[in-house]
Amino acid sequence: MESRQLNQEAGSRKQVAVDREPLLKIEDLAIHFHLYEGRARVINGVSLRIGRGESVALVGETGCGKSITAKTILGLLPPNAEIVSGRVLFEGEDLLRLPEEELQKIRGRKIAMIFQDPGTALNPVFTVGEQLMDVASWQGVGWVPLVRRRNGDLRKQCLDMLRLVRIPDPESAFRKYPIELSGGMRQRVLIALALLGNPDLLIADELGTALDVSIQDQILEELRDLVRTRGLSVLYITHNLGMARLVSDRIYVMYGGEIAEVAPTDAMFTRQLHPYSQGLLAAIPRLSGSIGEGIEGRIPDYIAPPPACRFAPRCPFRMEICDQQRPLLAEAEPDRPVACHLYPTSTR
Amino acid sequence: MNFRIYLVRRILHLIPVLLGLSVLIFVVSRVIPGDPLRLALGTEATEEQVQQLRQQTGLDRPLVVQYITYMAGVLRGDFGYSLRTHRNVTKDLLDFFPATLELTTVAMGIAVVIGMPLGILAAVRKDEAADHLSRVLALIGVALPRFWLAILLQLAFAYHLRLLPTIGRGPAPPTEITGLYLVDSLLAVDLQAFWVSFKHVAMPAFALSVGTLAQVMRLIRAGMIEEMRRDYALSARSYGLPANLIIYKYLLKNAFTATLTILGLSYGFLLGNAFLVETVFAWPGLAFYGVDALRFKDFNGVIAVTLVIGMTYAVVNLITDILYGYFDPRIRYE
Amino acid sequence: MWFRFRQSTLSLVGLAIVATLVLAAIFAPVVAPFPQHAGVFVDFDRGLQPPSPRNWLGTDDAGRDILSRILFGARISLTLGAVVLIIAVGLGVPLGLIAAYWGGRLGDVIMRITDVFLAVPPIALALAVTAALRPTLTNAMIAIAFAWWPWYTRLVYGQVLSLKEQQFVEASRGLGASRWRIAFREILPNAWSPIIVKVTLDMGFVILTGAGLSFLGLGAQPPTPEWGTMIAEGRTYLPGVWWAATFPGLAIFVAVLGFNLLGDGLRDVFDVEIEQWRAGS
Repeated sequence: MESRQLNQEAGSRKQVAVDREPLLKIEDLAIHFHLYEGRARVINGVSLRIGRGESVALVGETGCGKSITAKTILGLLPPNAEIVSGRVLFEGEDLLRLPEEELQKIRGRKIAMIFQDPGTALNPVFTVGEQLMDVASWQGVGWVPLVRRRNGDLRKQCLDMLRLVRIPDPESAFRKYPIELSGGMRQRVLIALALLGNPDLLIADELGTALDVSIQDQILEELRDLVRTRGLSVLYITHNLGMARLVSDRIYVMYGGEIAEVAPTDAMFTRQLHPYSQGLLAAIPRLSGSIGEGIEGRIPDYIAPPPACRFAPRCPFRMEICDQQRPLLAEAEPDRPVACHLYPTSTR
Repeated sequence: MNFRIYLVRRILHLIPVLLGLSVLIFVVSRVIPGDPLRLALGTEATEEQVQQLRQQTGLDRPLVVQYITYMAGVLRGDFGYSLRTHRNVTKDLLDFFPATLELTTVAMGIAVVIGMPLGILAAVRKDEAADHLSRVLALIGVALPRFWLAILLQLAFAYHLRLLPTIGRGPAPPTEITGLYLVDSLLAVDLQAFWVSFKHVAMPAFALSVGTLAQVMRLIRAGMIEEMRRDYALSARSYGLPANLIIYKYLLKNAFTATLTILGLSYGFLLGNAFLVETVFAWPGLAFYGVDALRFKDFNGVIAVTLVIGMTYAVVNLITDILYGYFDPRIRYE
Repeated sequence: MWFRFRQSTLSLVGLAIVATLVLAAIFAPVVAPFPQHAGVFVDFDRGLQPPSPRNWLGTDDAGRDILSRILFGARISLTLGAVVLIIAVGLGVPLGLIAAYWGGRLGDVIMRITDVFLAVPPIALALAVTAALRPTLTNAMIAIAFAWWPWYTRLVYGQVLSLKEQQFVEASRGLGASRWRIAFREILPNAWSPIIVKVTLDMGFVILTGAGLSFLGLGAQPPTPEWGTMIAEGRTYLPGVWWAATFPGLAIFVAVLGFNLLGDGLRDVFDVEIEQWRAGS
């Protein structure tokens, strides 16, 4: 990713005013999973904020809980997950307290997710068109389905969407089955499906990781443009700092189910406060799938996690207090919260 | 297109298999201790009469010659002469086969129509009371001896409750186009005849269907549960699609497609068990005919019945393969 | 492994049923109230009696105690199952192993022959074979075994094919082990679990098929107390005399159920994925 020249227009880094009401606000989310081996404390107090029109990246290695955070927003957690505490405020309303029928109205229409693997996220036995039409017409009402509008309207809407995501020959793609399309095309279809309901917030889970790198870049760029023109908010879930740099205004670094550091993108790349973020950045030149190769050790055991700072076992700057007191996520500098005892603001 | 090639190859593969089957059955039936001819003529028959009959029916010729003559006849549509019914076996087949076809197809229909919703219910209410109940029902269904159930049903519904006829198929409907009474009566738009035929086929078909019903129930349940875990199910939910749509359209099509091939194999067991059920209900089908042929050691009858069953089984499996390709595009595009 | 088995109540029920059957079969002469009724015996005065304290399950047309006959019938059914499956496994498994491991022309031929046998449902094939033989229990066993072995060939064939590719075979071959050795010492032990599960499940279905054949008069003949034969005999006295046909059928049902439950339990224990369709169901 480092060798490509990408279009970075001025103004693509928005300055979000701190006092503006955020579109999405996650407060102190804690989620435990009931596994056969025991209770896994996977999400351990995560807070997140996304403003209108803002693109935020949630970055961390595989297993840090970022995907789970995303799924929680839409209420798509598996049955063995227990939301222990926290709130997920969307336009002021706590999504965690909503009944399923209400949640269904939000899914697709207000918040939509773009899934990771286009090979499996599409239903293999229905055509692309069929799936688009279903999403376009059946959204938002619980048990009683929305009466399907006249086919002509809907079909045009779907075709337009395919055109919008730059699928050549939308008519032909409409009739095809997912297996007939290339990986890149399928990914675009997934984006189309997510945009169909005209949501305000998009969640992109590891977008394009299953694809060829060059195609991934192309799609990311196109998405970024789309997002800008429509003024959407986006939450990018990724393990790839390079991708975060390309598309986001602000970056949350996540480790072991907790937020380690938050910063505007440029600031993050200029200087990292948290040792883990430093490690992540140092690992970039090493071309490999897992960033963790730059940092020794492995992700914590969520059933028996470290008592205080979860990164302590792997941290080169480990101190005594790191094993005694959990560092608070607090602004060590203006607009730069960090959870690390290296900064006095994090120590009580 | 790959799928068409696959189908053609399947059909071509069938031919040696069916030929092999014919050889097998032929050899088995001709290599016997005991003399069917003597049985046919009765104990008073003299040696000359037996010899004469032997010559007439060609049983004195070498085995290979007999086989070739026989197969040549089969290809012409002539299955030989039945020592028991004293008619051309082909005519017997045409008379009796539709009844069995109707019985097994209705049984399969029952299995799917009842089994599928129960399977979906068990999957959606996994680990709840409904699920456990369905598991118990499935276990019972698989273990029930079909002929025993048939007898019990007869006792209950025919003798004691007098709701359904005891045995037989009932009168033929006014028009006999397909030989399938249910279809024919509908074609003749004779609802009364349809109802009568239906009452006759209900018990035998149900008794025959229980094992397959149980199987369908478990397969659909397992299939649905597996599909529920897939990514596309999660993404469908994320778009706000209603639960009913996801279950009955998105998941079901995938789950059903997976069970299709097994249904084809199940049809074979329906055909096999038909021998028992038809006997209990005196259902005038091919299997019933076959059992009589067996008892009487009418070999042309036995061979013909076996071959027809083999062919029917093969055709049904071919149909399920085609349907599978139709429902699941991944097979077509490899 | 045993722990997992114990966790499932249904599997334990299956084990209990099978154990009871085996015990009933072994100890029939001792446990049955009227052991002599199992063979040739008539007492027409006591014919067709409904269940009573003397005859818990009633008597049949010849005055024989049905309970005793059912107990002896367990002997017959279990023997039938065992014999058929020993033949089927003894013939089918080696063939499948050879076909899969050696492959080539021989493998093709074997599998083609297997396909031929599998072209008709097993009951139909077994019935067809009975046509060539006199109707006896022994011949019924032969007929059913004739129809049953190919399922094992196919099962083993699939198993071995997938095992063949795996690492430990490569390792063995690297060490210079002969093909025979690999086949029988390395591969076969790993293929056993689905075979064991299938045999357990099949016991029930073979007994069911045997009863079916006897019911049609093409297997065990009277006065043998085979469950199927008993149903056929009792059937003529319906609907008034219901016990003669009902209880033997119940015995078959319980037997099949027991082996099914046990087989399911074993399958869970071995974590095996047998093809869902079961021969004979």
